[in-house]
Amino acid sequence: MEMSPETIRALLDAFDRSDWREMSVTVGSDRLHVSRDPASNGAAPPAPPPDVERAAPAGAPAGAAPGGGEAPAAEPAASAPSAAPAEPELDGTVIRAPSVGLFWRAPAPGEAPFVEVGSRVSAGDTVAIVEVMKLMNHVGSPVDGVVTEILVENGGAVEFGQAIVVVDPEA
Amino acid sequence: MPRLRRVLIANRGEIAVRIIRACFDEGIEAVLAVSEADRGSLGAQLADRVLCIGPASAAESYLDVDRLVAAASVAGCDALHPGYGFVSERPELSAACADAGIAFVGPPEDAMRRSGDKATARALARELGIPVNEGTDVVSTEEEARGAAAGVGYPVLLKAAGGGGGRGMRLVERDEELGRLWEAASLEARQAFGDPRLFVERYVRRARHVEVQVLADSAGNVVHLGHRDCTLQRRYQKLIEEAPAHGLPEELLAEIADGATRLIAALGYTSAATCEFLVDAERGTAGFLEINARLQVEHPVTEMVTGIDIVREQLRIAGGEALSFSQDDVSVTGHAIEVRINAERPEHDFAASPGRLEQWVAPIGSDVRVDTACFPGWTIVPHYDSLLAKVIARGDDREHALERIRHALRHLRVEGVHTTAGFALDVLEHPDVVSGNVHTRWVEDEFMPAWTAGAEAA
Repeated sequence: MEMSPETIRALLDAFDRSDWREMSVTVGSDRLHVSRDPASNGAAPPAPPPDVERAAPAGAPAGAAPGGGEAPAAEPAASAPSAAPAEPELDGTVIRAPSVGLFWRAPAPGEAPFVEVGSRVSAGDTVAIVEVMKLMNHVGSPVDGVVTEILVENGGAVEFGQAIVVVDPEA
Repeated sequence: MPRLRRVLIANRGEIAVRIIRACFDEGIEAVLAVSEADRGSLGAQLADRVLCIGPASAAESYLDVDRLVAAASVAGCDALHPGYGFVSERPELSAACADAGIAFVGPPEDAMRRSGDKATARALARELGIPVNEGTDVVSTEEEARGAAAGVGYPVLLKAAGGGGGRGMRLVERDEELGRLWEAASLEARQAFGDPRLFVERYVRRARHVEVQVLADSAGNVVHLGHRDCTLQRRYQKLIEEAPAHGLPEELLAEIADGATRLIAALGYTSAATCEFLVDAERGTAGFLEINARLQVEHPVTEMVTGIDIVREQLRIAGGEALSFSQDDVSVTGHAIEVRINAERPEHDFAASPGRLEQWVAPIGSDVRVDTACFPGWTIVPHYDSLLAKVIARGDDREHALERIRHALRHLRVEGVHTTAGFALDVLEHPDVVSGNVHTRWVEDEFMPAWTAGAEAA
């Protein structure tokens, strides 16, 4: 369960204190729907996901600021991902970064990667690490299957929710 | 030391937009850390780059020091601005930035720790001969509190030692109430700050809340930017703030400003700080309360009357530059008033009113400023605080400023959520506010009863 009892309580509190008629919240595969309307059955689709808003301009220069001459020529942090990156259609089970951080394919530098494209994995097997301030978060596959894509370079920066590895559960 | 090139903004809402503005003015790239709920926010649209750090839950995004510092690192930022609220006053954030080689836009860890702990800050104030509001040092048990309260004399205020914002605070009128209220305050303090210790403080009736804005650079220059009056509060939450503080003796104001400056200097502090004082207007005395080791929500009123951009100064200080002005260069001209517009229903005990902004039109004017992250179509989610905007107006004097802020509030158009704008307008039209004859409990004790009755009759 991705929505903890605390989260549910906090959401219900917020709803209680609000003047909303209905509230629908989706976290991962969990969905909470509450309504003051007796006719509502919660079948209404949840609000559209927030990742439709915009693609950030890549590496917008700081030189456009007033006194541009003295503005430092910042090198674009090429590895920094933009907000809500347009994601290609991905077939299979998409594994996403649990946090902002650095993406690592192996348990330590010089060691063999956890998986390669074509590797067979079981549910729970580590496919990568996302490092947050020296804390190594092992990212597991939720399904049995075969790795079909590794979407981030070793050592690259990832955002929360970014697709990192794809597993085909049918294979 | 080189100037900053790229700053991570570890906050959201209006203050994220405010910091982006300062980055633009300074020629610095602004990288905004957002939760999943804020990918489409105004700040995310204005920032040079956006990095999603976690889900909507603040605990896994804006309150997570590791994720914030990781975001600054992976985006190649050389500084991090924490804004206010969230983790802005956590010494471990300042420390984590230092460890990662990122300049923290705020005080160093040690100065933040010492200024944030009220007991330490008060002890230092006493050492420096700054008047401290009569009260006790930290007490840990109900019995100690009872003894302290008897010494100070009822009514007393119980306050959390570990933090502010009105949490862990209780007014105790009589000895019989102490046991029950001690327990409640201590529990609340532990939940909010992980520290159940409390102070017992003499409660000043008809008190005014006056604070001093201070800026300090790493070369040891410390200047103050004058006073703010934040007396109009409800349940210890500020509603309306103004600068300068009005109707108080010059000598008292000078004493407060001097005390604030000396206190910050003694802490080895850098960046922006606010020293809060409780003023007993009848006796003409002031007592030091606490230090806020961060940018304040109400900083714009000071900017409006001094012409100094506090956030830009913060960024320069973090980049190692000296303050661009001295104390003699600071002059206060005119009067400014700020109103916090919250998505709340004042007529229903200020219940939160989240929802989609169907309409949002902010007032305009040469001496009107609106700090906000709202735009038509944006949704106010229940995960974060209810601040929609700060409407600020400047006038030649207080009367003129009052006229202008009221005019501005009448031109704010919001549909889709309820707001506190109408309530604030009624407050600003009240004769006691016009004359300045208010105190920190005036809104709750004197204004609300009549206003609620009027709202129900309407």
